[in-house]
Order: sequence, then structure tokens, then C-alpha cells
Amino acid sequence: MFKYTVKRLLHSLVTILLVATVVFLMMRCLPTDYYFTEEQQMKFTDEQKNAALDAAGLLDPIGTQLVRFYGQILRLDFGTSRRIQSGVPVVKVIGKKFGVSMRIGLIAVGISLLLGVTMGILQTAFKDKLMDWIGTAYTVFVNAVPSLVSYSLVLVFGAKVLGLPTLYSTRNVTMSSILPIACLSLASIASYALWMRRYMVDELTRDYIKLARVKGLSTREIMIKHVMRNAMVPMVQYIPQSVLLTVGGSLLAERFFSVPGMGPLLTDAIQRYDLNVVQTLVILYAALGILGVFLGDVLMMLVDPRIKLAGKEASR
Amino acid sequence: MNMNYESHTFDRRSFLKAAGVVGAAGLLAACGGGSSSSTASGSTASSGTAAGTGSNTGKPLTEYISWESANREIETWNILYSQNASDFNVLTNCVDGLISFDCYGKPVPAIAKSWDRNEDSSVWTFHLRDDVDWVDVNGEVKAHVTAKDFLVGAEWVLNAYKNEANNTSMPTSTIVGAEDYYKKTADLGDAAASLTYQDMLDAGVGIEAPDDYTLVFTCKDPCPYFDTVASYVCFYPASEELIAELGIEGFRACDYLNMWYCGPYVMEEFISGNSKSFIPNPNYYAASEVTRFERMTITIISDGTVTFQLYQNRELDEMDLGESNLTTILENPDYAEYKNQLCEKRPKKYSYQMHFNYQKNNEDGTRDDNWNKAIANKAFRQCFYRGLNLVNWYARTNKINPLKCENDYYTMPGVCYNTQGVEYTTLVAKNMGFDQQAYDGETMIRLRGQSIDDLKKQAMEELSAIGVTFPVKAAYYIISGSTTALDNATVLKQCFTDSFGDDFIQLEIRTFVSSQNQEVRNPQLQSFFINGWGADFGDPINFVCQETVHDANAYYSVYYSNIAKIVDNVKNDENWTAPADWQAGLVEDYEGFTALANEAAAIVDDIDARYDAFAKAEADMLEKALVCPCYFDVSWTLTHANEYSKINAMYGICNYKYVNWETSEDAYTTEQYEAFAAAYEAATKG
Repeated sequence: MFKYTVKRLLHSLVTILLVATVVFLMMRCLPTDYYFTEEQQMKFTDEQKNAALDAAGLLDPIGTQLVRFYGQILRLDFGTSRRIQSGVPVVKVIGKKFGVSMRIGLIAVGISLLLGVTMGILQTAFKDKLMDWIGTAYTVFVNAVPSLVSYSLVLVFGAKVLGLPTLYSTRNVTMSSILPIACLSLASIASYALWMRRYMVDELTRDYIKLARVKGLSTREIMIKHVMRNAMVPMVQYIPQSVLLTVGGSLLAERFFSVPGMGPLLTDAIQRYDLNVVQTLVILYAALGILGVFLGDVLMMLVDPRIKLAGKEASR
Repeated sequence: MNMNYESHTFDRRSFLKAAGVVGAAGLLAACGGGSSSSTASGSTASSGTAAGTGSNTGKPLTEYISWESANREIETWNILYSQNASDFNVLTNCVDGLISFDCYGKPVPAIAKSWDRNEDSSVWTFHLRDDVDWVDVNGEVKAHVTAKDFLVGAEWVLNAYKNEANNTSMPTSTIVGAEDYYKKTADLGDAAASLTYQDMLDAGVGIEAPDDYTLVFTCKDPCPYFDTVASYVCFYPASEELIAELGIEGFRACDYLNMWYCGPYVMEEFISGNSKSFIPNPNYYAASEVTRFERMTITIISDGTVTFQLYQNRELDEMDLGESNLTTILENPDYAEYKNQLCEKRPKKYSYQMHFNYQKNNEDGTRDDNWNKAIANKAFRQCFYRGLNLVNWYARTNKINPLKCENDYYTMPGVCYNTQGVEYTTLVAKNMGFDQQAYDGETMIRLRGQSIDDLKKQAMEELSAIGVTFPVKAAYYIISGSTTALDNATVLKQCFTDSFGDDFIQLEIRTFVSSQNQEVRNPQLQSFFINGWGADFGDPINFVCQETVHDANAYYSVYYSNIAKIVDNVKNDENWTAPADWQAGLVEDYEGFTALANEAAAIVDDIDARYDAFAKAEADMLEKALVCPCYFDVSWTLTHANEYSKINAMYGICNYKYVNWETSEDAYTTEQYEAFAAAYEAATKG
């Protein structure tokens, strides 16, 4: 297990470095026009533009820039934001938004897990009955309708019927978080319900279930002690990743309700050519993704003792 | 993290509530304002005054919620460092400069209570108020604002180390010794950090403070419009104490919590990407002279599709109407109540022009002489100005009144007024013979009562004789992947076909991937660009002289029309050749226009004569169709604020200052706005 963990971590570091390098090089492929605003583009002389680019080190050879970038990563110096919040350390810029996204995201994941898993269980328990049809219809609807449309429906319903605020507000955090959380949960509930139902139905066809019935276990005992537990094994693998990636926020939902979270930060930073913010976010997301997969493996092993990571490794 | 914001907000709100409510409530009673003075002396106005152009029976709003799109979030809180309009829209409420503007765009006193100049306009003296204080975010007085603060601000801007070369172009091009001081600090590198305003004065920079409340600027050359230059952020004040407290890096990257304020508002709260709210500065020097809101909130809207819903919920007090919302309101009976609330805004401050390229290349790098010969012909160019009917294209911007977008001049209306209060482009209209023409909603003014058949025939004959083949292809570049750009271009192409037929000029729509400058402008591939220019200061020289020849600073001549490369060997190109025979007429036209513009620029002691001369030069440029005026950006809104009561300067940073706004609990109606527009027009035509 220890050896496996160290090896995975080393692989992860190389992956993150590769991702960061690719993004670094791609950002340098963009025309330097993006460094300037439209007004600056028009009114700066070439001399002024070159002076600004030179001061930012963007006219140095790409190799020099890359070495400097690696040095910064090693020192964990992610620099300051140039455009998102000029002169403010990137870590601080991200830190301010991190909490908002994480709080909303975690609540949404919690609600999704609770409702989604429950819905999946109920659908399985009442397979081919009304409950199952309703659940299936919900899943199909949420997956078939574009997010923007379902968000709009939630917004109109929330605002007109429930009288909820439609924009996130720090003066009324609780109430103004309801609609964004509802929107974030919509798809996740459907997803968890779909997979829970599918895994449970699969389990119900297994031989050991028949044996359990023959041994006289009640349906309730079979469902809780065997089917649910075994169906949860593939599900738990994705839970750490879901939780960790809440940090990244949701681009669409956060934009839609003006939630000051991480969601729109990466696209904004790319649009504004804020290189330090882009690079730091990419490293962060890559690290969280890799960590999420790793923790998922560990959690799966804990839930199902038959799974041995070291053994899996040894068998390769 | 968020909880900290909340608790912080609550504490300061409690602290400031008494001061804010008492101040603002009293002031709002005077909402509606009075007429403003257009001259420096004798006016008590500050930060602009309301139009007083109309009234609404609805109760004025004490709190107002506006919006901003997510890509225009503030980036820096340092007003001297910023170069972005999105920052200035916020900061103009936090920090005042020497001069502000009224709703007509005329300069009015702010921290400078009056100003005067010497005979040749080379020395300008600003007399400052003695009751201006710096306050912190809690509204507590930190220091007194004196002339020294303007010296500190100027030194900061001119110091390459401190301000990293931002906002230097205006002071270095106008003030004695400023350019040398800037170069000196650039050469010094990090050592420039220790320089102070005294070092700047010792270096001979032409800014002095003979006493605490007098500021004297000495210009390199006579500059009759320097007061409008001085309204820009490069001449804003900075506190030496605050810089000492925060350090250079800290001051450069200051935020709303640690910066000092001397404007009408202080920040109550700022959540990046979500909202910012302003409350009245309890120690604002002009508190009794302007009206302010108890709270002004700017909400960041990332997704434009939700704004109408937010407006209906009154989570917003105003919204801009795009084509889809406008169509919904006009055609859907469910929204009939909003139909008579459609209000047409004033034009945005950019004058859009069709800039011809006189030295166009083909994509293989060879000259496109078919186009170059055609566009060098005056009759051919005049067909654009006199014959191109753009009504359908204007409808893409303004669906209801497309012709409100018609632009017949080069300079943006409202940039300056003569001593009789006559707006400058009115003078151009007189020279063009348009002064008796008015908007009729049916025909473009410059197309009335004439046919281009003769011009077209003349152009085709003259050009055929020198080998031009027809139809002449005009390459028009748009960004790839944008359906909006493609739709607009397709409508424009149809306008060309409808106006010229298929046998004369044909528009070819081409695309660039990401950089118009690098992919199109630098290799000179375009036949024309449509580009908007916004004024930097209040004089026609800022517009007209972008098109003259023999001037390396004439932006459009050098970078867009490329006429500078035809007339002069501006890039010391070994392969440069003198203008061809077929370009002789074009060069002559440019030389004639340039002579007129230079004559106008030389008049520094008589503003009326100066503007008359510039109007003559501009009319000459347009008659020769060296550039073809295109459009103004005029859009529609649903609003609880009277746009015509807001500051409306065509330059500077003051337009988003939330003072003297006339507002109403009831939304304004189309009829009211039409009355505001008529009153405004009558007031600006002199």
C-alpha cells in the first residue's frame, strides 16, 4: 500500500507538471494582442506595447520563460494576478472564491447523494412501478434538457412561485444560495439515482441473492445488507472526486446566479490573458482531479476489503 | 471567508448608516438638479449637475441597483495605475479629480473650484477648494487634500518604476519636462522608487504648487484644451502619507479596504464577481451641492438572459435591451406593460468610421492595385459617403429607430462646445450643408435628395481608363466563429448590393482567427475597417488629427488607412516608392485636408475660431470621403433613472459617477424619454 501510494504520488506530480507545461506553452501561443485591452490595443504605440510585454517577461525566449515558470512552481510562488485583481497574489484571489464554491458545492453534493441514492434505492425497490417511472422520467428529463433551460425553469419557478432571490447576495446568503444549490443538485441527483438503480438491479440478478432468499432472508435484509452495500462499491469511487471538485465551482450555475465562486475564474482569466491565474488554476484542478481518483481508489478498498491496491499493482 | 465579509459589512454599515442616511436623504430631496455652468468660474457645481430635463411623478429612489457584465469587473483599485474604463466606472465614485462634467459633457468644477490660463494657453492655473479631505473606507478623515497631493500623484504617474508606465502619454506629451523625467525614472530602474515629488520639481517638470490651494501646469506648447486633459486620471491626487503607509507595491495594489477616498462615495462592500455597493462619503466636500443615493449597488450579471427576469423582480432598477428582449416586449402581449417603458439611450461615446485602406495587399503579399486604384479615386470614395444606405445594418443595433444610429461626422458629438454653447459637430454640419436637416426616421440625412448615378458613372469611367476591373471587391474581415459578426456582415453586404448593384462594388466577407491586428491590419489585407474612436480630451484635434499626413502620431493614417506610408517613407523602407500617378489626386486631397487641420491646430487664442477652422477641415475630409462616417451605438433600456440627468462626457472617467441622478419608483416611459431627448438636443444645438 505504501509503495503503491508513493508511486502514485510521483506519477501524479509528473502528470501535473506535464499539464502545467502544456497549458503554459498553449498560453504563449496566443497572440500578445490579448495582453492588452481593446482600448489599449488601439491607443498604445508599438513602443509602449513592447515595453509592457518586456516588463512582464513575455518577450524572453520561450525556454527562459519555461525555466522561470518551473522555478516559481518549485518555490510555490504563483505570482500576482495581472487583470482579475491587479497586483493581488493569485493564491489570495483564488482563496476568496474557494470558500464560496466549496460551501455551495458541498451542500449540493450532500443533497445529491442523499436524494439521488435514496431515489435509486426506491426505484429498485419499486422496479417497473410508478415510483420507478417517475424517477426514470426525471433522469431522462434532466439529462435531455440543456442545463441552461433547466436552470431557467428553476429560476422562474423559484422567483415567481417561491419568491426566492435570483441573484446570490452576501446580505442574504442562505436564501440566495437555494436556487444555485438546487440547480447544481438537479443533474447530480439524476446521475446518482441512475447509477444506484443500475448497480442495485445488477446485484439483484446475482446468484448470492438467490442463495440469500433460499436461506430465508427477508427482502428488506437482502436489500440493505447485501444489495445496497455491494452497489455502493462502484459509487464510492467517485465521491471523493465529486467532493474535491466542488472547489472548482460550476461555470454555468455560478455565472447564472452571479455566485462569486471559482467557476467562471478560469475562463475569465484566459479571456483576460491573466497568465498566473490560468497556470495556478490548471495546476490546482489537475492536482484535485488526480487526488480525487486516488482517494476514490482508497475509499473503494475500505468499503470492499476484497480489493487490494497493492495486489492490483503487483498483478500488473 | 464569506462570513468575514458579512460581519465586516455589518459593522461598517452600522457605523456609517447614520451619516449616510442623514446626508443622502436630505440631498435626494433636491433630486432633479438645476442647469449647469459651462465655464470654470462662478459655478458652484461639483461632479456634474443634473439635466433637469424632465420629471417623473414617481417617488425618487434612495437606493438604486444597477448592473455590470462579468467581463467588466474591476481589476485594480489604484486610479492612477488603471487604464480601464471598467475600473474607472467604480473609482470615479471614490476619488475626485480637478474637474468633473455635467450632463451635457461640459467641464464643471470638482476639487478645482475655478481655473484660468495665460494668453497663449500654455500656463494653466487651478484654484483648489480648501475643504477636501481624504477619508478611509469607514469615512473617517485621514488627511486634508492640498495641491501637494496632485504633485505626488503626478510624480507617481511619471515614475516608471512606481506606475509601470501606465497613463504617461498625456502628461509626457503636454507638460514641460515630463517626458524627460519619465525617461530618467525608466533609466534609473529600481532606484526610481526613492524619488519624491520634490525630485520631480527639481527636474524641471512643469507642475507647481505655489501654495496649498493653487496648482500651476506649464505646457510644452500652447494647449487651449488643457483643462479637459487635466480631467484625466493621470492628473488625479495621491496621498503621500498613504503611499508611505502601504509602501510602493502596496499602494500600487491597494484595495477598497486600505485605499483613501475623496469622492462622493465610499465602498460598503465588494465581492468580486458578484456585487459592489457604495454608500455616501460622510465627509464629501460637495455633499451639499450634489444628490447621492443612500446606497448604490452594482450587481455583476454574467448571463444576460436573466436580466429581464431580474428587472421584473426589481432586483435591478435598469437593464439594457438586446434584440431578443426587445422582440419579446414588442411582440408578446404578456409583456405589454413594458412596451410603453422602452427608453432609447443616448449614443455611447464612440464615433464609428469606415477607414479605407489605401495600400491594400493581397493575401500573397502583393499589392491589390485593383482596390488601391479604385479607392484612390475621389468619385469612387464619394459613392460610399453619398450612396451607401445603411438603414438595414443600423437595425442590427437599434431595431426600433435604426436611423438614430446614423453618423454623418467624424468627431463624436458632445466632445466640445464653443463659447456660445454650440456643439462642435453642429459647426461641421453647417460646413457640410446638413444643418437644416433633421432626423425623420425614414432616410439617412446624407442620402437625401441625391442619386449617386453620376458619381458611379464618373468613377467607373475614370477607373476603367486606368485598368480597374469591376465589380471592385472590397475585403471586409470579421472574427471567425462569431455568428453575430457574420449576421452583421451579411446584412452589410446586402446594403452594398442594394446601394451599388452587383456591377460596381462587391463586399467580400473574410475571416481572421484570433488577432485582427496581426492577421489583417499589419499585413494590410483589409479594404476597410469599421472602427470606433473615443475622445481622450475635449478638442477636435483629438479626432481630426488622427487622419492627417506627415504626423507619426496620427493613429489612423499610420495604422489603418496606410496613407502615411504612401505619402512619407515612415518606416524607412528601402523599397519605398513615391506615390503612383493614380494616387496623385488622393495625396493632394490629404495634403489639402492636413493643411486645414494644421491651420486649425495653430489657433490657440480664440476657441470659436479654432473650432470653426477644425469644422472646416473635418468637412473637407468628409467631402473628399477620405473616411466614411458609419454609426453611433444607440441601444434601448428599461430604467428607473433618467439617463439625461447623468454625467455624459465624451472623454474622461466621470460618466458613471452616481451623483445628481434623477430617478423614479415608477419606470420611465418612452414618452418621457422622447421629451428628455428633445430638450437635450435643443440645449446642445445652441
